Amino acid sequence: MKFAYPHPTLPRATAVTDMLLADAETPERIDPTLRRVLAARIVALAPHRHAGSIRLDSYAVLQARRESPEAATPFSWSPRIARRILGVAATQRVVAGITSTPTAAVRAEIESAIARSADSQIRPGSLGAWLSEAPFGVLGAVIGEATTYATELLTALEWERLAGGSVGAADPVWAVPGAPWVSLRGRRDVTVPLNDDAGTYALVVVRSGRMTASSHEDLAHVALVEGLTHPDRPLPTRVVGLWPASGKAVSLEVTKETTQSAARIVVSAMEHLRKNVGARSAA
Amino acid sequence: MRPRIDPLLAGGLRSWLEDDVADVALTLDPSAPLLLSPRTATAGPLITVPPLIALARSVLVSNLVAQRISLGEVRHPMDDALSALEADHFQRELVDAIHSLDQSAFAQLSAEVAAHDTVLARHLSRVPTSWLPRSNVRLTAALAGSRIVVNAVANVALGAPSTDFASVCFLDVTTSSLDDLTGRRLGVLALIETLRNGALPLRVASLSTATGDVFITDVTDEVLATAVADVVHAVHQRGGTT
Repeated sequence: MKFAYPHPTLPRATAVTDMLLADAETPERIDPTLRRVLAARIVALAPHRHAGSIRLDSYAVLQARRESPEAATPFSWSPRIARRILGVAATQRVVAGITSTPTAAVRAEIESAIARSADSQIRPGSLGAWLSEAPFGVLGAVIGEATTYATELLTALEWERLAGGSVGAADPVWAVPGAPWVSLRGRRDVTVPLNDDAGTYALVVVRSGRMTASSHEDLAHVALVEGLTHPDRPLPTRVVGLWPASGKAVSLEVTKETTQSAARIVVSAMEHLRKNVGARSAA
Repeated sequence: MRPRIDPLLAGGLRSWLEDDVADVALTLDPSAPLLLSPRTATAGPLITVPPLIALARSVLVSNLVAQRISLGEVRHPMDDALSALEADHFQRELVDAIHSLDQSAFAQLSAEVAAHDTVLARHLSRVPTSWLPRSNVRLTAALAGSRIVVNAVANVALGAPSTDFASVCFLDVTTSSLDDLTGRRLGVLALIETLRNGALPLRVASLSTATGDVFITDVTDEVLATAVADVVHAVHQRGGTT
């Protein structure tokens, strides 16, 4: 895989934005054969739908391939889980000039989520429903986490150079044809158009902690899901990963091989999942 | 006067560190790195594990710091802090331990948390949102191909990333008393920030909610040089034993 790194100069945001917007050849679209073969392999390996739905984001894929994956726990909201949703939405508010600071933007997002939860259309387990019943101390923790997330994203890039970029759009989800209870999800935070005529664009993902040996697989997974969900347009030119805690950034320059490699990893994860589900059933 | 950022400083500090820990790093496996923190980098080889009550008090007070920064007020110190702790999936064991305290121990912990919050209220006024206040900021710097990782969590960070002039400040809140090592622990925090963002922070501070004492220091070359020496010493001290 081909990587690029920001120039080690200050301000960091300038160097990262330069890397994000750098010229590149227009990538191909996702190979339709790859799409078809990947779906067929997943269908063949997918545990029965009675075992429950499987949503494979980068984290789930990497977890599945570990020797001893962490036991799955039922989903419940927490300040750390809510921080990304609220953080990117708050970033969007600040970038759009609706709100001037991340803290104010997060508070506005929380108010908005709670207001939406009052609508009977919103399901009970939604973020808004959870926030509407959250004790004062939990709200403080949520605002703190989300504000930190938004501030780190806002200060990581030079937003005035990212005209037309979108922050916080819903993550693309590819429900596998033939096994729709299995889906692939690409967790990315920002989409930046590069060349409107060619339809090229770049993605930015924000991750916690520090880069690890598997970080490039994470970025490749995001590129794969983007291609699977948008087969009619070029693959993203690059996926830029940001690790604010360690101040690191890297750009995965996307090629045909990137998606092939990511697809192999998904298949491998499905093999592990099938084995684990089988083991649990036998037990 | 804010110090001008030297764009070569972070690279120089990293080179210095990498050179001085190279011999130990060779013996470490990147999949099981040597983990250091400001505390372990400045303490001796043996660090006492705090008793449960002290650990609980520390985490609860940290939650109140975040709440004061994000909401500007605390209504019921123990209730607010404990509800935030209960919402944190990574703290289930500590939550269970707190709930299993007998009535008098729980009441004592609540009273202590409230007392620490009184100090917080006195020292942490409302921070303007234009200062970009962040709470529980996680910082990490990996050295020698990730064989050595220095981590920290700053209770509060203020200011946008430094470009021409140092502009970021950190506040560490401790439920213990400040001691002779406080300044050096803050130095390591400043070093991690310099390594990760390429620019030194302006100022680091520590507030003891036990005594109300405050230690503030501007980040200088001397502070960072001492921090490098502390990290190198800790790596040699702990590298072969971890």
